[in-house]
Amino acid sequence: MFRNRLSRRSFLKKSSFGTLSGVLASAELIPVEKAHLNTEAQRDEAIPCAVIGFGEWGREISKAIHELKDTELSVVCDHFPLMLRRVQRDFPTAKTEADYRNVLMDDSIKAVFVATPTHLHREIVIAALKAGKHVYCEAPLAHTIEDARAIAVAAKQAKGQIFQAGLLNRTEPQYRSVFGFVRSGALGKANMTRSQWHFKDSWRRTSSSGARTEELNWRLDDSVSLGLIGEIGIQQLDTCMWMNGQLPKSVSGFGSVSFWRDGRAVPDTVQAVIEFPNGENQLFDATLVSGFDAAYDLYFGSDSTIILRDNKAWMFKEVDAPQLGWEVYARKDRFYKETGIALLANATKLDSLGTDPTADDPNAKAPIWHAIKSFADNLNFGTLESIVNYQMAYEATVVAIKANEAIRSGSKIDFLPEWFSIDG
Amino acid sequence: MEAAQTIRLATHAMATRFEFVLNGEDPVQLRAAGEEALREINRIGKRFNYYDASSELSRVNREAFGQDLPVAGDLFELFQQCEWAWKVTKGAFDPTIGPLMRLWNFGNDRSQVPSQKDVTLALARTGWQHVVLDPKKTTVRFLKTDCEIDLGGIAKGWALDEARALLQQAGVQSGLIHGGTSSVIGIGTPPNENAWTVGIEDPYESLQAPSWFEKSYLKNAALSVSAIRGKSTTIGDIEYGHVINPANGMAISGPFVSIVEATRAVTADALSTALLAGFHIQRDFTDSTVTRADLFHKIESGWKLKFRS
Repeated sequence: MFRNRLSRRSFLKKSSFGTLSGVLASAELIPVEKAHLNTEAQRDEAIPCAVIGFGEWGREISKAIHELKDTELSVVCDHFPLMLRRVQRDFPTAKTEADYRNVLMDDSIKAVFVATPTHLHREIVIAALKAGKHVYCEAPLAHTIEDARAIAVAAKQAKGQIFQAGLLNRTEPQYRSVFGFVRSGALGKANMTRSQWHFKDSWRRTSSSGARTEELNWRLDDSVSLGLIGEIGIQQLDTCMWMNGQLPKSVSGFGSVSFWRDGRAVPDTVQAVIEFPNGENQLFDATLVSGFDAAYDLYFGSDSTIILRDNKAWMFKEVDAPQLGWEVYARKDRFYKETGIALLANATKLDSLGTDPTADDPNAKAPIWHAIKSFADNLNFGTLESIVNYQMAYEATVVAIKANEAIRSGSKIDFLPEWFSIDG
Repeated sequence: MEAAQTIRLATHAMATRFEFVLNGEDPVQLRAAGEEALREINRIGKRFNYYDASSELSRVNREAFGQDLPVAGDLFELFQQCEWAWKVTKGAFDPTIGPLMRLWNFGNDRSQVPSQKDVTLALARTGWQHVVLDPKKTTVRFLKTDCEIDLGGIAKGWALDEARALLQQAGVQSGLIHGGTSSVIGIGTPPNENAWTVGIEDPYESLQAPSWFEKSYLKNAALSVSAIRGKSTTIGDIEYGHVINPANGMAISGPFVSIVEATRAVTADALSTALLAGFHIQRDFTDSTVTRADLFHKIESGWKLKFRS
């Protein structure tokens, strides 16, 4: 162990667990009564972690685990030898393993991060929970409601084990800050959300091996892929559900293969309207054809509109909106003919440290870093209910699955309440 | 056998344009391979960005003084490559010259050359000898409090090498890839040719009438061309380029162009910078992976080979 470790006990000396649980609970419905110490594990060392699946995203997860002082990247598992060679190069101190079952049999591993293709989550996640591991599972949970439900049930039954899903915006500081703005009424009467994800890319993967190429292209395999809205858009759909505090009523979808006509059936361009009971509907579109304007979310309201992009946020006020007071001192940025008021998640903290809140934040981290930090804090100081628990992940997965169905059929689907119940 | 097809891809990264021309039988697979390589270039550009306070490199610059800071394996490899280049060029390639670069403030107006006092102060803060690498733990440590690393002179080549590896792993056997046209790799050869022919433009001719003053022939090889044109500062009648001689802290002036061909682009990048910075005085350099290291000087009658390693 050569890295400086945050000692759990030393942390508790410097703070109080009550304060910590208050922080964790502040922005979302974390049951405060569960904010207690788990007495069985008093670790002063970093949490030994395993990553299963070393694709592009598994690599980012591994990097964040490696960077965090609370976690140690002990093992990376992938059944493709080339990926294991990449692991050895990127993270020379991590062990490599081809069979995930061997990872689960390793008692020294406390936490498992599942970053395999979506349709392979079920078997691995359930086995990991049965093996007593704390589990972080990428979103969506699964490609079918049946599989997602099985995972959620297993997570529910695994008492004392953490299950966190990769719905990244719920643990990202800027999104959490905007959540506070939205919930405090800064939008006035909220009326709709517009979300987009644009990236020019064929979404196709290749390898010198034909079998491997087929395996890599699961996103373009109609039988297992949830398409753009499921594999990418789930993050933005979930954010809207979180901000709205409601489950949607229906989803209408459209999609086409408009450019990448290479034999694929999975659309390269999709649009969906997600209808909410309060009328604050979400318009979503995603495309692999044009990268123009990249990705963002716009939350509209009668007093102001908030845009979230690249983990930054700005507020645009209506001319007749009441003064909030603080905006006089806030940084303003021009966007064509509009002026945006920068919403900075940690402006007060930076200011108090004597750092210019408008400068680049040297401590800015990728959303996945914050997600894993949240997971690690929970493991070190909990166990609390996850900030992104199995129920939230299951609900978002159901919406993503049905939204993809609506897009593929060009229809409107009304959500049935029982779909959102993990008990069926 | 299907006829060879050509596809082109591009991205913006590291404040320049990276472009691929790939040949093969299946354009769909070629594009997929190219896209993966471009994503990797973008990833490297973000991680190793000196100007982004939240990048991995900036974290090293903030935190490596006085402690063995663990870094990702590939970043450590790149640091090792910097160390190798610093050693073989006797310090002419030195990624720690940030304080000198800021002192000269290239690309912006200056009325006079920095004072000797300021240069001496900046020099005291530079030097790879203040960087300690531990290969067993893949850690980096700075021995001087204000030491910092800027990978600007080498990262493009590194990114191209990484891109080439990914392309070849995906089965690509023929392609030309470049970053900002100054760092180039030829993978295999073009169809029915013996090598990729790359014309090297005279940076002192007008863009309306480009002319090749030299050519490079690449077959599984990399090329790097450096000149002081572009990001430079004119003080009086003298144009000072954005390359600094780390030995004395002075910016290079004069119409020079360096051309290096090597197996790896990262090597070619480091040596082409070093050639401009003053490495040409070291005539004893040999390396089996470097096939050409030329420094040209423009005189009235045209380009004259000043030095060939």
